[in-house]
Amino acid sequence: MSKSEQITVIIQQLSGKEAAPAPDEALFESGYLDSFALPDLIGELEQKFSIKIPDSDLSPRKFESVDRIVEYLDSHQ
Amino acid sequence: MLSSTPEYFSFIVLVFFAYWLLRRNRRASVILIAAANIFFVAKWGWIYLLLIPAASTVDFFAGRAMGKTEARAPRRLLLATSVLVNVGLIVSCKYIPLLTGTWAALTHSSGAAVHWVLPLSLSFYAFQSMTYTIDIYRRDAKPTTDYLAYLASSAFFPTVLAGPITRIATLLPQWAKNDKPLTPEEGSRALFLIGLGLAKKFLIADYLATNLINRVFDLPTLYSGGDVLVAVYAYAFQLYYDFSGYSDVAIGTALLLGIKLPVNFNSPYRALNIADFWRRWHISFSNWLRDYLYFSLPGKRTTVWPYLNLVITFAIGGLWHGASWTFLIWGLLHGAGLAGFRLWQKFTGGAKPAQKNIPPPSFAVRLAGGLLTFHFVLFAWIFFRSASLDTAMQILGQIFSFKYSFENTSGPFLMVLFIGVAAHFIPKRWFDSSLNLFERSPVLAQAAVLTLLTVAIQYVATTGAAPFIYTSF
Repeated sequence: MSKSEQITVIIQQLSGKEAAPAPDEALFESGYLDSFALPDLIGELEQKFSIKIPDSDLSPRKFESVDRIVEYLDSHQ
Repeated sequence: MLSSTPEYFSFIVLVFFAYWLLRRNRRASVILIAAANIFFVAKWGWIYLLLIPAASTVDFFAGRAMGKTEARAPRRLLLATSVLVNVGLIVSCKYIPLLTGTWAALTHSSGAAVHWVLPLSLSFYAFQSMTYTIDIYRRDAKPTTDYLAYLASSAFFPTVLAGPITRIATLLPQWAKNDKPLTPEEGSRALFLIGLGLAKKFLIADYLATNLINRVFDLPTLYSGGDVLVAVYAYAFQLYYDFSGYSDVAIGTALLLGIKLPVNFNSPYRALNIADFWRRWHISFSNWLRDYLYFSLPGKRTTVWPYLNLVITFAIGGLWHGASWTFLIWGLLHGAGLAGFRLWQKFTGGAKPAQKNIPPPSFAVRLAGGLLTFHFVLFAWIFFRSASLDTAMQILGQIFSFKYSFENTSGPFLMVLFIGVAAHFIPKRWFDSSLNLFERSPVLAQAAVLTLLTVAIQYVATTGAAPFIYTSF
């Protein structure tokens, strides 16, 4: 499973939506994520990809789409 | 220069033709927009000729300096300078007049001078500008080296009065693409949005305000519980049509220049819960609160602080509308509502139904959720609209007196309210079909529709150019 697919599964589980978000879909605007779900997503990403994401990076812009999350993980792994 | 006046539309026509005549010369067209921005705000007072370029220059150079250093301390200092300048603008435009007015009332002296000097609130300008430096600080955007493009973006005239609050990082790249001609579809869509915005404002919002709402909220005790209740319901739709009408005009105006602004409303009263409501109402503002205020507060990954931070964020959001108890209560209600909804989700597992195999909610549950959300929002609007806490209490007192009669609610008023409610709930595909039909219609047919709309506005509008509600914030 690619990184993008793994992230998509995490987001589906967190949001409870069966439909998968498009890679460039705005996750907050389309209701996949909200301000409470972002820290949950960060926790899941840290666990799944064995990285430490600092609190200062908890900004919706860095995690606003699956593509952006992949970009973030690639630049921090 | 209000964006519902003939003066504004003459200004747009001039800027439109000049902009597209200059489009092959990118620098000249950006200079034109920067100059149009300055002219637009200067019409409100000469002091803005100094304030806007000065504040923009501080933010531009703060952004550039941040881009040149990795050291935390100077970056923080530069961000603090930018935030201080922009928050200072909001305070000096909104709160110093209030404080001087209160002081004048207490000391029986004259405090009108500051009102005269700063007639235009710059809070939307300040919010938009702060997106630039905060994004750079968080490394969510890169600083620009183009000062003129920054000036064209920070005080972009369609957004400067009341949004939609647009991230500068999304505006800047659009100036680089302005050699692409405006397509007929984009031009038609822009005119459609402007026409729709004016229709919302003049044919629905102003009509409802003038024919009952304003009178009821001025002196609620003179009206029966029935009339007050109708006025409260109608206010929810007046505010929606006024503000979404403004947003349509702003988005249409920007589109005439080939610039795309974010959507600000998405049928907010169809929301199924309070979190859904804030994804649909004043979207650019709720996104701003979330991105730049909520996520700047401490304790993001703790158990309790996220709930408190929601309440703090919305209390500040409420006070931003004005320094009064009514706005604070409105903000606290929404903050507490969102925190309570999230807590409820946590305990019922509603946030993660797929994990717990909970089936999607039935129609009855969705309807109940929608009605509960709408009435919660409606209750909060009473505080938002009332001039004082006493007025809000009088409104609630009249409603709960249960003495219902409707002497002041006329048939035409109910008809306009019904049209407003029905138009809000029409399926989105109907709206999209109307837009497509307008886009595909011959130019003459489009002109006929807009002429008919102008005639209808002339016929119905009795108040002249009443300001859009949110331009006062």
